[in-house]
Amino acid sequence: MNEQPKQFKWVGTRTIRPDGVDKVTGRAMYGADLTLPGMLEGKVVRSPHAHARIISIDTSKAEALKGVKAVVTAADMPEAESKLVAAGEAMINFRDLAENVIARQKVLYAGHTVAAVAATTNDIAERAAALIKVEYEVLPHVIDVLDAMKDDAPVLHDHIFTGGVKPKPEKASNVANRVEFALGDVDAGFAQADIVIERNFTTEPVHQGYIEPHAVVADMGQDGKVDVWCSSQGHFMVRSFCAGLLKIEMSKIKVTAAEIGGGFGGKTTVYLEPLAIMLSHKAGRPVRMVMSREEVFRASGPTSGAAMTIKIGATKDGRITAGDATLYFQAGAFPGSPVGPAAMTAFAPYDLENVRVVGFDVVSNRQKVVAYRAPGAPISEYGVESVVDELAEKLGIDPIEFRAKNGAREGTKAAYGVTFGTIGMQETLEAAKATEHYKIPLGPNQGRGVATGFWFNIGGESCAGIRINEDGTVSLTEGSPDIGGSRASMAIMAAEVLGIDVTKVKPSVVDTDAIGYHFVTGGSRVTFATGMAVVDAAKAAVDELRARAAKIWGVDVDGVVWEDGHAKPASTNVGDFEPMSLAALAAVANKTGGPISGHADINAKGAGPGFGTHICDVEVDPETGFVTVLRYTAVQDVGRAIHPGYVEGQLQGGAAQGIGWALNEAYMYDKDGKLENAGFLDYRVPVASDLPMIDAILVEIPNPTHPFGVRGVGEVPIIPPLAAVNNAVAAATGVRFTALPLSPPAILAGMSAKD
Amino acid sequence: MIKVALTSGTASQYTDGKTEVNVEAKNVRQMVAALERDFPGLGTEIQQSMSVAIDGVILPDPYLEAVDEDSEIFILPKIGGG
Repeated sequence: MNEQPKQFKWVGTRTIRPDGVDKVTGRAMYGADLTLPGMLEGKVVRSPHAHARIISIDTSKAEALKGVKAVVTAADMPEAESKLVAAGEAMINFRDLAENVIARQKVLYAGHTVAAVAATTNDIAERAAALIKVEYEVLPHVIDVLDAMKDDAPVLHDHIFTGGVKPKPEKASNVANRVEFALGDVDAGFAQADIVIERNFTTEPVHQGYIEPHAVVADMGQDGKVDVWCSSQGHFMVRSFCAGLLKIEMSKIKVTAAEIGGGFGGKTTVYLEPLAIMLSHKAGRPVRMVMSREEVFRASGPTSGAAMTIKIGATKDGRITAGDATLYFQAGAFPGSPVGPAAMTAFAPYDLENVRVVGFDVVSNRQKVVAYRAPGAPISEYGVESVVDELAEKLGIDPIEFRAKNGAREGTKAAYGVTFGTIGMQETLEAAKATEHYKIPLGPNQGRGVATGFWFNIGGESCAGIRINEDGTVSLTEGSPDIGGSRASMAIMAAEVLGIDVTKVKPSVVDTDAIGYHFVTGGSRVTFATGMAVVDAAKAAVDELRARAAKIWGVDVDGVVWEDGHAKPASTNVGDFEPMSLAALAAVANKTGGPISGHADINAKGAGPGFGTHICDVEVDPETGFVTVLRYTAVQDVGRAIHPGYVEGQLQGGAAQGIGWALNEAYMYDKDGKLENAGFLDYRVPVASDLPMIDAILVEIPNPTHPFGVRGVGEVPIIPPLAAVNNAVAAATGVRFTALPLSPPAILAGMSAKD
Repeated sequence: MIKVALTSGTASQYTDGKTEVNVEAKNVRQMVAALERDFPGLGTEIQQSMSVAIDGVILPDPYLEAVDEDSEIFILPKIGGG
């Protein structure tokens, strides 16, 4: 059961960020900041072709260059077996992971790694990379998802036969997998409808846009032990993947998570780490590798672009009778797009009897996609929320009321098959409708859009250690790389349980040798799952503190309670003892049994689903088609905000990224399949001056499975913006657009067509 | 007997389209074994790439969790996140 809010001293407060001073003074150590004695610099040789067979690789000139200490090609790497492993949003094949790290027989996208070199300086490494001669047989390529599904499309992998269909196809295909979710009878549902709207939508792939590029330092000793320091959302994932790819025992690899300058899902896999280890192994010296921004775009994963058809029917009084969706998702060069979660989330905000979603995972000669906040959900929910909005408009029903009428509640069987427990979908709609924002009159060329979003949230493996120091301070250790201020939340939860001042708790994210396995920082799981481990560890420490007091007082431990940071007799029957503080018990720990600590190693279950509702006001310049976002409000059920400031930051950041997805961001390829806008100048993410202040409203419907009611918060806020912006633009222009991004030329073209 | 619900996509592959099947099991481990026995390949698929939701709670790595005839059991793809 949840603790009652009135009992909280620290939960819900805006404490100072433990890592804040280091970050604003430049003292924080990021992935590229580590320098070791004798360290080499590594560079990667990448394919200029979108699809080609590797005929030969000649490294002799590079190896002969003075200062070059090692060159690696696929021939140096062990062959990986075909085995499924968890990676961010999906299961991926280990062989695909290996071949994405370094191409073996074919290159599958422009930017695909073919070799790596380590030298004494960056300049020498770059010159050496240019001396590596790769002979290619260029093959036809395919970029677009629908083109890749055609019978005459170039087939990327001759071992892929469409999964999820029966019988197994006899011909290899770029369609790696088909998924289907259905409830009820959609045809009967549409027959009951008074109005049916069907639209085709497209979205472009978008990059996670983290400020810090991928960076690693690896040092492999002569005894085979490996130290890795890297920018990652999961140092245990890095250990696991590198051990598997390089056939090294896990216990020989220690990975330390550097401070991380953003990930958003994009750092839930490995790119440079196995190469750096292999270069270090061959050179006998530490190797640092850092991607340039161009390499980040050319070689690390965006999320999918997609094409989809959405069809929804409703009665005149506003009840949705059926929903049908077909989703075609770009996976990039290897299978594993987030089409599965996209299919499951598409209609999840609604209580529907008749639903069908079919999804296709399609490979093409693009960068392999990787997780991006709420993988897949922003795409499918953009299509659904755009049609839902159009239905509300055509029926003359307020868009929030229409969503509330059809919205999921506790006990609703979700479209993906699971019955919801305690959820806050309706409460976010009510809170959105009650905002001042929703009532502000709009001017000429201005429009208001609303959209909702859903994400499952997850738990998973986490551990925590609480050590009571001799002076009464507390060292808190855990292993979830801190991307969004999670150390502050961990300290708050520990202080709440221990009953001490939060500044007495020092949280640290420790290396893979120092604590048990953690799943990646992703899926909005850390404050929920690692937080649960911290609470359990703190409770274990409290039990030990009570036991020490019981020893000192000569009473049974059941006669000692822990209140406000002190051991106290449970009643007057126990005896008349002065309460002992945590610090007082810590000071005599050596005399009462030794150091005091508490530990927890868990696989957290019961992550509470998250819902959000966003409101967006825009103004569209009729002369240029330029969209200005005037006002933006993000409302979300967060369960309970441990640190409201950082939760608000999650909502604001997600909204900003979603607005960029809606208005600006896209991958552009030339006729040869080479990315043309591999940099922040031409791939434009929103900057502060592009956006208004984003108002964040926290609705707290506590998750009953977490001791403080936490739900994950990081995924949901990127889901509604795509449709909220699209719906606002529709209201401003009178045109229902069906393709993102909503660039000025696209808007002008749409407005011209209307006229 | 427990009732196990499947997505329509999974059902079309392993159970001749039946989205609800019955097996004898007291926990998830037994359930997966029984599904593999009755519908070859399904148990393996669950172990490799699927989650099990019991009474609305999605479990990414279920094994010893108890199930009974009153449990709502749903097999669905594994979920991660960014």
